[in-house]
Amino acid sequence: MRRQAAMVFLCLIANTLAYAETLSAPQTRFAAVDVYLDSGDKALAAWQFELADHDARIQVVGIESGEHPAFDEPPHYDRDAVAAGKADRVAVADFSLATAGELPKGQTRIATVHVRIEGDTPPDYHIALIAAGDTQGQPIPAKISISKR
Amino acid sequence: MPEEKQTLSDLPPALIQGLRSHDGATPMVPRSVDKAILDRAEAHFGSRRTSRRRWALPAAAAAAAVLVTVFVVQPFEPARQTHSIADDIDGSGSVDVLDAFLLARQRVDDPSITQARVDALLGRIVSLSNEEDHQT
Amino acid sequence: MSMENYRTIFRLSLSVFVAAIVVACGSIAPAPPPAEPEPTTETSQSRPAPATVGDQSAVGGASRAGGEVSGGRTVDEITIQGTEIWQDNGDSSCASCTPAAPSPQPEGQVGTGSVGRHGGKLAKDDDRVLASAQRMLLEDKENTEQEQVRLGVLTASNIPASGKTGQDAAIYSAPDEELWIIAAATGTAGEASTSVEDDAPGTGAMVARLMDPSTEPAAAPTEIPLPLEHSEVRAEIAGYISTVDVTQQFHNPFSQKIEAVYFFPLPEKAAVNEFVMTIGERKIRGILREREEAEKIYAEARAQGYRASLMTQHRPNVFSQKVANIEPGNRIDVNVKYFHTLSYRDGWYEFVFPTVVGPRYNPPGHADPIHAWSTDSPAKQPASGSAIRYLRPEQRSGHDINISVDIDAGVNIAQMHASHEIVKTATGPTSTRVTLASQSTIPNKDFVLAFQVAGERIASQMLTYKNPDTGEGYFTLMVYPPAELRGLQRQSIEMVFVIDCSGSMSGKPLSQAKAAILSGLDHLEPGDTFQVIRFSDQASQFGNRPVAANANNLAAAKKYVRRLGANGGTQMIRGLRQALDFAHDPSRFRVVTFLTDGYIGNDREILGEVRKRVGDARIFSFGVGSSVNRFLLERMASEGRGAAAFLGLQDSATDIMDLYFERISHPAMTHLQMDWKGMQVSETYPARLPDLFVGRPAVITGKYTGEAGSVGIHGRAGQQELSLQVESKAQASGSHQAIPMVWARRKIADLADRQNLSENPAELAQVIRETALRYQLMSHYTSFIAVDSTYQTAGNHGTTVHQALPVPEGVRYDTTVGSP
Repeated sequence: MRRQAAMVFLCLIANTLAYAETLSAPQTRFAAVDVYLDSGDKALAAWQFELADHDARIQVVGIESGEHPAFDEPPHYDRDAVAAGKADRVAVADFSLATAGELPKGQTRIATVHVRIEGDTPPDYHIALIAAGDTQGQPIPAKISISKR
Repeated sequence: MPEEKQTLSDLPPALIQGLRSHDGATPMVPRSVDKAILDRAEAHFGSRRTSRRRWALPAAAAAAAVLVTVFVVQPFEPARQTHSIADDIDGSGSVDVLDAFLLARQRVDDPSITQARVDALLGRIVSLSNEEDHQT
Repeated sequence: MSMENYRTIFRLSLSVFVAAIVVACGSIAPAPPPAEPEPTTETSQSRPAPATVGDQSAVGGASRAGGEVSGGRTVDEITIQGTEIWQDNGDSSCASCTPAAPSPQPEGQVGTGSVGRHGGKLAKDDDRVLASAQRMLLEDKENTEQEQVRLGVLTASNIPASGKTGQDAAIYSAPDEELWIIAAATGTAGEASTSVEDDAPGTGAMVARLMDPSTEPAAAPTEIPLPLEHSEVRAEIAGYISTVDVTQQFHNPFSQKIEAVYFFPLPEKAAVNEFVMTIGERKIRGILREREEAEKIYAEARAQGYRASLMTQHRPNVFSQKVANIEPGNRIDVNVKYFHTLSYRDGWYEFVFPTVVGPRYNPPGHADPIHAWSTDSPAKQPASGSAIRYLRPEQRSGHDINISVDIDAGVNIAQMHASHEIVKTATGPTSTRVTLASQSTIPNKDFVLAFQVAGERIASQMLTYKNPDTGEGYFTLMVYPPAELRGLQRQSIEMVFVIDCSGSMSGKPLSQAKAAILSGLDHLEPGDTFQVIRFSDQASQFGNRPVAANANNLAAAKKYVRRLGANGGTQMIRGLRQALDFAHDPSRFRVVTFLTDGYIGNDREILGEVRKRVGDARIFSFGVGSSVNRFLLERMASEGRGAAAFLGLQDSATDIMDLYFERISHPAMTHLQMDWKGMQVSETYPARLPDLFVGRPAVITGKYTGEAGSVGIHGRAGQQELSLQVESKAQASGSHQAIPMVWARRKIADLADRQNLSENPAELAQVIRETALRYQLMSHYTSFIAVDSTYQTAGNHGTTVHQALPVPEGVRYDTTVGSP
């Protein structure tokens, strides 16, 4: 008898917990991650970076162009991964065939990644510069950084 | 010599009747006999269970460690595509946006290079499944 | 168990239940704030001030001259506001009265339909006509001398006391009610105006009237401008593949932020694969996600005040765009890009850009209807399905469209014509740019550009693309029928004409369809038989069975056709069944000629029926009208192994029928078999090779491995065996980037068709989803979403404004949108 009562009780608790879990589903919010590249005194003609969230709670919901006219079209990104909902990272790249005088130097915002975040904890972003190049296609040293909005 | 099958009708009638009377009857095992058999079985198999119990936890821990190693520490990676040497336009040993950039520049003077080819290379470059294979 | 035990369990369960309720109450999020009221805006029309009867000044007032309002309710001449004149034609019998809309309008709703001059009769049952006049006066910006009607307003209190008898009082339902009177223009005295159709493109920023749901039904409706300002279309044609870039400019002219919702068509073969949202100088590339996921993201972004846009497919040729949180005075552009193949008919390539979705008839119980929603209706969307708002015939939106097409045909273009006025500029020996002549074109008619290339014979051709990573190849093969077909005579046919007589065909479309059948009957030969079937709510036919094409029968059939009228819903399935279900004469080739505008909501059901019932028949579908449902018509023809043709309102039905019979007067090349030679081919679409008719190529797409070289095609025409060879064209052209997407689009279309007959449609849905995601294409199960998360707008998500569309040119509003 006690065993039966305990089983009923446990079942009810389990149902209650499941119900409570659905009600307290993680809240979602949106944020933008600005990606900056500082190429020093070199004209920046091509760049490629990877943005990752090690907690895998982000979803990319938009990829925005940079602030400089040379990069005013939305950059290229891994569409398959984004479409498949792989939430941990995204690879982005772009280049411009403009002349050196028409390209950015110094620090410039090269792209903004718009993300949807689950939960209240801030994502653990990691940014890695894969390549940056000048008008000759030669690698140039550059510093990459991000700013969250 | 062929085996002779003995049929029921070959048996003595008394025996047949005796066997039939036991048919369907619930076998009765005396309690003392039952206990004796259980004690004997316990004595024989208990040692094995103990020995199994002794090894069960370490085996489970080892299995868990293997699983953790395989699935957590070393995540499963999808099959990677390898870049062809043709993609390494600048011969740097890695395929990245600089190769797509150079290909696009070449296209200005060489119409045989199509925009489709440049776009396709860009698509491969940003594909995460190729991320580890930037080294050709 | 004892009673005590039961009590224990009960108490335990109750405790847990109460605990669960307490937990649930603590977790429920607060309700969202109530929606802000509808934005109020200035009206674009100034309503004339009520007249003052008795003041005979030129400026204002109404005066009566001549006769008097009497028990016979004859009104002679009333000058209202110095401009509107009511003239009596002396006919008190109302013989000159023009009937108004056939269906009565609900109380409080203005009527539609024809408005004519009335010979002085004002009666209660003229409410519909009077209501139409009321509407016209509110909407018309200018009353010019060219207009066939003039309108005036007279309040009941202004009617001269001497003329206001007891019976007159009965005319007016309330003392202060405004009464609209129709008058005929002096310039066209004696001619009754029977129609308020306005075919000419309008200009200016007209508004759509949306009812404020929070007010009483009798309250004056709110007028607000529409958010879609402009559409820019840029197309590039290389060979027979076009790349099209469409930019929609949404603007918020209100004082509060809005969400814009816009339904629009695209060609049904369009492979949509790019989506960019532009806010000022900033461009945000959207991402393709599974539809539910994309809708969820959009809903969240919208609720949280972020600017977001969502593009969704409702039918293969009907899409919707939603743009959330457009702040006052701001503009958001949405750009989409797609590829599609041009159609080729009788020597002409045809580029079509559809501009308007025709109002659909949804059979009762249809699961996913597309409603036609009047701007007079309350602003609450129908509960299920999608809903498209339609402007009344005299209304215009501020939306205009600009189209430019760059054609690189590869050979000289011999001729070109278009549905609109165009400007042609040669940009090279074999390339031309075509643009719309007028920048302010109202998009209520599909843009159709047809061009003929030089040279007598067009060769079959195959375009290929190979993925350098995977080695996967894709091809598109356009096969033209061999010239020998023209020399062969056809067998006797069993011709079945099926004509759509539903309300949407009323007027010019039905006239065109009837003219086509009359012409078609003249083409039949003595050995042929024929049948004529008409359908709307029900289907009926000319004879009990197909009759011989002799003089008597043809004469009787023509009489039958001439008497057909348009009314009721579009139960196309009844017409289809009647056309295909009767016993087939094996000695004759059954040809079903379907004439319709295709304005139905159950496209898929129809296609499923065609597939099930077509048997050995061939279906040729004719789209009749200015903006027909090309998706349905093309797919019906494809499933029916026939061909589709389009009969515009200005086209010659006789010419179209001549071409048609020219085509079916020669046998088709049937039983096609392909010899792929060095190619290992898989997943070809259509899976069943179509017949080849004179003047109509077949387009086949598929995947391959191996080397693409020449391919062979073998078939039969009657008793004769025929063969063709087609060379592969390894062009280094950017257009070939589109070939994998064109193939994927065909695959998705094929899967979607098979869903109708599948016992496990969910499984096919999953394959569609995976294919669409892999090739980055929009589909019924994938949508594009873009969110600007840099800036959160204040307040709630604002008011949803549905972009109202014009009813397609030639379609009557009152029998489609206006009808109940």
